[in-house]
Amino acid sequence: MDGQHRPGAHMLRRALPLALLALAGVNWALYRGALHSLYSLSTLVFLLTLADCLILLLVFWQAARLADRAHQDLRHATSGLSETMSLLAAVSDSTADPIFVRNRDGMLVFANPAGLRMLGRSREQALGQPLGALLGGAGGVGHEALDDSRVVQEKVSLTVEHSVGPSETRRTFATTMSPWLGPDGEALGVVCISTDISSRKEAEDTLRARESRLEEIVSRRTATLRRLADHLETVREEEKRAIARELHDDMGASLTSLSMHMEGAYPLLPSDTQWTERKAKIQNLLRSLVTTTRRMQTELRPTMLDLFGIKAAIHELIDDFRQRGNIEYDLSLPDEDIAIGHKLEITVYRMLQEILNNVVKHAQATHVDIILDVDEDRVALTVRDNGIGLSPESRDRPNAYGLRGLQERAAFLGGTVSFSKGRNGGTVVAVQLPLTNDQVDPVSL
Amino acid sequence: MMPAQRDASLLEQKQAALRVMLVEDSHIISDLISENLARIPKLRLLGIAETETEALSMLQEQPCDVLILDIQLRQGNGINLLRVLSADPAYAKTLKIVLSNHVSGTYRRICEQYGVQFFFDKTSEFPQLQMLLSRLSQTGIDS
Repeated sequence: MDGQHRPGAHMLRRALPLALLALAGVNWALYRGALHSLYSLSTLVFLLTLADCLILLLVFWQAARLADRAHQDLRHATSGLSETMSLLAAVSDSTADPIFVRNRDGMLVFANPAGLRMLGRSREQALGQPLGALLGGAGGVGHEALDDSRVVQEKVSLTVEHSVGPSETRRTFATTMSPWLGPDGEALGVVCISTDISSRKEAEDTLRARESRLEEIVSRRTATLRRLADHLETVREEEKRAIARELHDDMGASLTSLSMHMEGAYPLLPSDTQWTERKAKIQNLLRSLVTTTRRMQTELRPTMLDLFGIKAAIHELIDDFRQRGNIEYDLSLPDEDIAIGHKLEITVYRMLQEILNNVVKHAQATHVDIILDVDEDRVALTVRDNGIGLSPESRDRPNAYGLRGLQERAAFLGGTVSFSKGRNGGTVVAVQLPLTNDQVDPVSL
Repeated sequence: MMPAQRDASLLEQKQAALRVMLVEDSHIISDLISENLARIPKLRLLGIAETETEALSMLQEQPCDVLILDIQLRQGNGINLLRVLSADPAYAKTLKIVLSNHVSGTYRRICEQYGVQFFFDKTSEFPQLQMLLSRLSQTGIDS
């Protein structure tokens, strides 16, 4: 140990040689003075005594002053320390947060009263025992993480969540572990400060449970609504099909036979101008009636779909769209026959009809590519136009029922519909439907 | 003329007549058609079938020269019937004529694929069918 740590001894060790040196110097100087007969020998004795006394007095007085100061410093330091100590003790004793210190071997070296309460042990029972075993004995769960060696090895702070106590009164704690560092920076152990987060945890758990219950309700109701929408859609299709059938069997047959009767009757009409004009009018009326009935019939139910399947029906649909406007259509269909079930066929057909109606109404396109692709487990319909594109605002409009209908219908069948920007502008609508669940449970209300 | 000779000549006459079969599910229309076809000499309407199955069994019972059929039927459909017939060489020589209210280009194309030679709009083109049948009854099916 050097003088820095023992100021009194150092001072004394320095004061004695200094005093001896001063005594020797002054004595020698006074002796030289006597040799030069500056004063008599009897005066020398007196002077020597006086000077030595003075020197000793000075040295001791200085030493005493230094000792006083050192003592005072020490007292200051001690009182500061004890004040800090008592403050620390007050904090650690009064806090409700358990505080533990364990050494490098995992043995408990300190625990505040809250910590001891958490362990359910007295200070004597707890100190010197392994912390892990103590927590285990108190019904702890998840405290193994407190033995994380990274705190000591890498000197990092970590926070872990663990719980303590029997299951009915179990408390959950968040414990922050920080390295306890010695004067040279080496880790002597780990300081653990725990915070009781049981109520927060409980609130979180309740919230999570409520959230998941809510999600469940929402998804159940969504499923019901989708089933209902699907049911309505199926009913609507059936009704439309029935009306179309009626139109064909009744109106269509009547109109046909009326036309045939008229063909037989025309030669019997008088050949004057009035009747020639009337004949032309009757023929026009009949033609327009027939055209309207046939159009209504096809719109209600594409007979083509029932008779020849989706490929032929799409061909007919595109022919119809071609006649309506200045849009070119490129159609790519699988070479082989498509067998995807009646329900999916009408769904794909109606979706294509809806998408093309949108293109004609809003896209200002001049070219449309339609690609239908069917493989083992899915059917994919892609419609790509070169129009002005579909803005997100118009897509998210609350009254964009057509687009939403597409998405809902696809979702019910376990598929997806995506809208994206085409490479050269325009819109790409991609529909994917799985082939597995074309047998859907009937709706139960 | 001996009764046997008379029978033979009647038989010849019958054989020479154009044998027509009609597949049509609407009574009013089939009545009208048969009424109109009856006016064509040398044409014999063998029968009227209302469904696909009925048509098939009738065809199997007696051969015909001309088959006039509608596309949409109460049971089955005309195209299925054509599909079956196109696979059977026994019906290769039968003249197939579609008379329907489904008249779009797609229907016409499909019917052509299945060996339909003539396609008429039931509502507006019946007179043309009548003319065709009159001509065929005179000249025979091979012409």
